[in-house]
Amino acid sequence: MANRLQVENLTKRYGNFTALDGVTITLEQGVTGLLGANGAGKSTLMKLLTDQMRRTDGRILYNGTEILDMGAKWRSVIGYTPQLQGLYEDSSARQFLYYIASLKGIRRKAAKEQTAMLLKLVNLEQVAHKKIGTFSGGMRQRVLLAAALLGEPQVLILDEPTAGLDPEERIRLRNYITEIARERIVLYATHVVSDIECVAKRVMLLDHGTLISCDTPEALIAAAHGKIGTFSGSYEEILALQAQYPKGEIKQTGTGFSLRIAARHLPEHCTVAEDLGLEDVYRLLLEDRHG
Amino acid sequence: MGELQRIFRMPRTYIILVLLCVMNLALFAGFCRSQAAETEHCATQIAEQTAAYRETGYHAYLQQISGQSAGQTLLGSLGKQSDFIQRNRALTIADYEHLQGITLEDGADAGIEAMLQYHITDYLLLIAPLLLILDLLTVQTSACGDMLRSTRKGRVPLLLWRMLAVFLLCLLSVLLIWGGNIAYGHFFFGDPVYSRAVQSIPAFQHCVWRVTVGEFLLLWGILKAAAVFCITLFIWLILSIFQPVMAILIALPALGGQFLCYTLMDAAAAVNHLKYCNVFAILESGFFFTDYNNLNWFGHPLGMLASALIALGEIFSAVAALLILFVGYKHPVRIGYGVQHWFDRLQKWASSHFGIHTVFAYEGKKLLLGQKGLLIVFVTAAMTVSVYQGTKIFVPTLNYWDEAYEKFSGAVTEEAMQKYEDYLITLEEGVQRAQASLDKSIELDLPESWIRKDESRLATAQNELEYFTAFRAKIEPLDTHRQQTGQVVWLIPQEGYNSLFGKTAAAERFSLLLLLYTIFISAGIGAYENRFGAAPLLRSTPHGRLRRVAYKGIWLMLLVLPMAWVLYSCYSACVASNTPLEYGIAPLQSLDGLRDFGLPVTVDQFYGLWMTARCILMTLFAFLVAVVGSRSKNPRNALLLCLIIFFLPAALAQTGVPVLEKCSFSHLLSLFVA
Repeated sequence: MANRLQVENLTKRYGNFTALDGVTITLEQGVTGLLGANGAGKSTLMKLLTDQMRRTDGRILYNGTEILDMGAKWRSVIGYTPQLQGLYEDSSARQFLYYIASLKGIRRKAAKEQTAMLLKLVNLEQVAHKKIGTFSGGMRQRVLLAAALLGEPQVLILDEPTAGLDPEERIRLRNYITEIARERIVLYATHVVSDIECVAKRVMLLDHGTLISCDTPEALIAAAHGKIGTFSGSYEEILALQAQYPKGEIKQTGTGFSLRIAARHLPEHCTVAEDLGLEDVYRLLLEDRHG
Repeated sequence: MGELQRIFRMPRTYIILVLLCVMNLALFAGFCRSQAAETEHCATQIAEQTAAYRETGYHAYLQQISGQSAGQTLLGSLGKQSDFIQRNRALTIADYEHLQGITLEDGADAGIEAMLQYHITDYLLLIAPLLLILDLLTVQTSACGDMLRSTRKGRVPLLLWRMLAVFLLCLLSVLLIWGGNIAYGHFFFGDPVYSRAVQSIPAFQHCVWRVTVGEFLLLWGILKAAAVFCITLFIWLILSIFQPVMAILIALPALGGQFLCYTLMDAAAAVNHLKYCNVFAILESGFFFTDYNNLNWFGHPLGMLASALIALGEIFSAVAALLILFVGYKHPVRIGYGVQHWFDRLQKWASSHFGIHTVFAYEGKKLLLGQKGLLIVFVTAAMTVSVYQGTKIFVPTLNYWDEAYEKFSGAVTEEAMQKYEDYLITLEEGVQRAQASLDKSIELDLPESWIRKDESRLATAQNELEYFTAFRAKIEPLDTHRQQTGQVVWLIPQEGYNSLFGKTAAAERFSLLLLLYTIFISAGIGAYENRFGAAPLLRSTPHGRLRRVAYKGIWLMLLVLPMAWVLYSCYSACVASNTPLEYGIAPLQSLDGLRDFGLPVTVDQFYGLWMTARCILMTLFAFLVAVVGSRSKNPRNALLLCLIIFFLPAALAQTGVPVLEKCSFSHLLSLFVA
């Protein structure tokens, strides 16, 4: 039976504030990117998926079974990297992974093998005995990722997994995620649009707790075609136009300045952009919602 | 200046100081009470001796010194012995000469004497400055530290301000914590009259400084502050420039060696310089004023204090200069990578061969190593030994009652009552016989000495009769109980059991120590997890919820339950060493306070049940502390919070204010029943 995680009408309210508003989505094998600004509800969705908080309404079904009914069984299926680097600084990377392995109920021999393999994968083999307190942000992130991958989970929930990684590590990690996602559900939340662009089969866009779009990157980009434009001119002209399109991005070019804007109806003197990316899609959707 | 303000605006600094102050006061109060109890029975004798010392004894001592340089006991060996002895004799006479004609006055000496004998305060003085150092080191090694070093005044000036802050905190610690002892001594024993010559106190017989009691206290305080400052700076330097393993390898022998030299070395040892030119000697420093010894420096005698001060000055100069050079001036220096490398390799080997693989073991490791549980256990064990050796429980008894217990202790049956009545008749007859003998001696006009002997015999017999008659108050209620309930109870000495089951058990230092231990062990459990923010990750694993918490609870129980048993048993052992508790098989109802106890158990059985209940109660208390502590995200704040809530009232209750006893956890958890 194929992996399937269904989220139905998932809602979370804190008093009068709605953090997540009736999100409905089905996640299947492969990477699903989750994009959204700070406070969009990404982390709330992840916490609800990992049963870290009580939901206000809705259901989360894993292969047809409510995850709350699954309890510890659900937690043995998932691997999670939280956004905050919650690691014991006085423990070594290897000890920490052994500990997580024990919490995941992995047997001693398997834990040892998997830990060795994952430490190699995240390139921490040489410093595995050192205290996590001495690690850089990127190294800590890799420890967390290795911890999430322990036990070969069927559902991986990754909150900003590439934060603090250098470009080489980023590429290596993305490649690994692509590889493991062939047989698993991977929910990948990030601010870095380029990360998702490379690996995501589908992209979810969250804004103020509402799911505003969920489709393949290609479809999203195709839908944005003709709605992204570039305007070149003097810096004063650029500033004047940006006043109308505050989400427009100013770039310095060899000859002067340009402004890349997203709008349903582009101004006449704008050149329609052809080299679209997910970032443009994201900008367009935000422009649509907030003007 | 900003750094000074930042440090002294931190509320935690003051909370720590207040807590230390109260903790010290509680312990000192207990010490003062035990001292007072110890000397109570011979108070008159001590007063007479002190009066004789002030009237004639001290001046006779001065005369003796000027005659033959008495009091000199130390014979160091750096230099020619004969030269040293000659010079030393001359110096001793000169030192004492200006004390001729000094006027000694009355005042309460016991407070100062108690301070001289009480040394726990000295080590408590180190805690606040050391915690500040740890805070400064955290900033120093963080990104914030790099940022601060990149500013114009972020190097030497910042370091100097920090050193000043540490010094001020040392002074403040001494003022509040050690000053608290002066205040309590004054309050408990009376006014020591600060304006009188310090030699008025017999303990200062050998003091050669012409200072008043107040001046002596001021000097003593300054010396302590200087020693605390010096030790703190040394630890700061070591932790700043060495890798952790190297720092431990250097600091432990350096400080431990000095401590051992100070405590274990004989005063007359050939290298006694190591005993006195030592930061721990200066930290205690009372003996510099109460003893008179000169050290042999290459044939030249030099006073202990002068030698110690020169050594302190040298240590301070060296440490301060190195701190400025390596921490303030140069780029941060880290030494000891080689040692660290080997330690890392050892760790690597150990972690790959002996990695732990069970949640239970991990939780234990976190508690014992991560949260320093093992260290807390060791420190508590060491303190238990020290408290056990220093605890004397006085159970007042009367001689005749001992005899009475010896004769009549045991089951109070009809026969026993008859035996008692018969004995009273015998005593009455004895009195009559003694009276008759006296009358006859007077009648026959026998020599005075014979008559006095008869009078004495009569007085003894009358006394004995009086006490044994008064003893009826002990034995009769037991007989009444037998008649009313049919249960035969025993006549046993009550005092020891009252100390065991009564209020004193709650007020004892063992209870306070146990309370402290439980708080230290359990307060940081939740905060430790919160601090690292690992909870979301752990909770997302199959065993990361109930099982993990349950294992933590089991570990907590494993650490608290045995320690509770040990500490409570130590108190019982202290009681038993003074009063034999040999009536364990007697029915519990034999004890006055427990006459109406419903269960038919013996004293021993009740003791077992009672101890178990107390230990379980203490374990439950540990869980409560853990829950309260888990509200905090920082283990240190959690500890402070729990100390304020759970320890402060118990410590304050030691001052003897009855209202405070009602909110003291030490009293509540000791479960005193008698």
